[in-house]
Amino acid sequence: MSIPQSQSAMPDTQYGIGAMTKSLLSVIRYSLRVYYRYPANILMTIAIPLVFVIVGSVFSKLTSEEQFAEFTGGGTSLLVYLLVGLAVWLLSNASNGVAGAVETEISWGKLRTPTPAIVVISGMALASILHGLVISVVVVTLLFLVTRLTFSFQAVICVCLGLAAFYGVGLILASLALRFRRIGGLITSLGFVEQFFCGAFIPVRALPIFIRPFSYILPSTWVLDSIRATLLGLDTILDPRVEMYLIVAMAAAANITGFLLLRATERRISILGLSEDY
Amino acid sequence: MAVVEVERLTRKYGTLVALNNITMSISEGEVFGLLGPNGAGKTTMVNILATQLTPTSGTASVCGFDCVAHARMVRSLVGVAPANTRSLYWRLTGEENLLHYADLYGLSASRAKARVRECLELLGLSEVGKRLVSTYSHGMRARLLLARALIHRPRVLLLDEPWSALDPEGRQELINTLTEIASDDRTVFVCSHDLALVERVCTRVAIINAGEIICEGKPSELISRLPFQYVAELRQVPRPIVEKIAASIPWKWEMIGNEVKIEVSDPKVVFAWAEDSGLLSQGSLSIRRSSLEDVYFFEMQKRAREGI
Repeated sequence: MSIPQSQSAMPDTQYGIGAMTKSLLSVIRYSLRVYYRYPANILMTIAIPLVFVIVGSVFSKLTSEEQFAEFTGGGTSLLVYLLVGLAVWLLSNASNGVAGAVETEISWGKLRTPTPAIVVISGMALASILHGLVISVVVVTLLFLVTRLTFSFQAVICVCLGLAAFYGVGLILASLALRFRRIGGLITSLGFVEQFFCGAFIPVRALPIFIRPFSYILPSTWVLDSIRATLLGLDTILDPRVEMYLIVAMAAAANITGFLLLRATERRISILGLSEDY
Repeated sequence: MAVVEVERLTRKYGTLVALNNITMSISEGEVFGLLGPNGAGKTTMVNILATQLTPTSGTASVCGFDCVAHARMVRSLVGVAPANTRSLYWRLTGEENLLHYADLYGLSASRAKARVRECLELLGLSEVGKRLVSTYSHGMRARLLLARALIHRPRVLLLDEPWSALDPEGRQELINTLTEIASDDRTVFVCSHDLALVERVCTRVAIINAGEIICEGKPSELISRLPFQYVAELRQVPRPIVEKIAASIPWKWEMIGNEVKIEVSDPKVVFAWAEDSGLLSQGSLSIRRSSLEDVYFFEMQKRAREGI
């Protein structure tokens, strides 16, 4: 089909990589601004980690390091174990946050602009991860303040790979929210279930055997396991190098699946319609 | 020159036919109104033109660009103002809302700032631009939605119930704004239930029912096609008296609440009849020219009688 009509009909819009990047950054900037404009949300960023520190400290006194080492194979306190778990789970849970945000976005109109849905949703996924990262940094800061942990470059690499995987999972969940609608609540609930399955607060080896297969398909399980091994010297489920390869493979798979799913969903929703109104 | 062209457009949702074989075109500078009851297919039409929905069959194009094949180009050519003011970011200011959408429409930073200023001024929101949208009234939010739809200077403005949240002054201002936009050779497509406002602002209208356009034309043309050119409205006449004289009313009439609406062609004759019947001493009689609202109800009742 030929593209007719004169250029004078064109409005002020620009196309190309520069414009798309600008759109992406705009989605991230304004998504974060919307959240942090509420002073209570800023307060929560600090309050959530503090709640875990207090709860962790209390329970640490009830659980001896020896008892805990039965499942972890190392000498660490429950408090440190929990804080590392929380820091990673906050990042992993960001992918669930995207689904809820997309559900709201359906009626907000960003998807009616020339910016492709993949750019809008990537921006929302990155904003959600950045938001998780902010709270996670607060947790890690507390962790370094209350324990004698040392900085590990390997842990940083592990977090970066984990972020790539969580971003991919975010795209998958966003596609599902876009396609099926009204499942944002379900996905948010799954995020809470994930914290128990991925070993954030309970060691995977302490979970019933029938639950463990679910744990093994979550990227957060392997990211956590590797980070804990690096920072706390705990035993890993698999060989540490194998775990790294597994995270890379999961990140690649999640991103490719997420991208393809989102493209397919974008086509599908134009057939089904974003709105049920007629 | 036709800016919006729709040809044999059909859209089905399962077995439900929301739009059935619709063909129409809208020219540059027109303010086109699409009227119809809930579920008639108005929003489906807007969604197809906004590239949010693909037709089951047929085509829709904006400035010659097909809404499916060139969806992205069409999105840059149309501006959509939905009826739902929740679609604004309430925790951002009016300016921030517009700047964000200017980014999404790919406007350069300097152009975006200039357009935000222009749009806020056009919609009378300059003074509240720096305030959070959560502090806005319903009317201000509705105007901000319109400003957002205009931010990239679209060729076609798609409006869904634009004045539902506006007060009388706001409605008057919106009519002026839409007329101003159309005078700049931009096309306005309005979906609304507010027949009086549509009649005032639209240069052409179409009435849609059950997915089919049942009549289309300039409001004055549609009104002139009616079998009656005047409507006599008999008010405050006690119901027993109306019931008593009902059978003897020589014209088509209907009772709405306490008002008797009589369709007539000659106002003098109905006035004489009311005087002779002694109705004028019982209540008041006003005679007005037929309006778009009369066209709407006439066409709807005709369809209902025909069982469509």
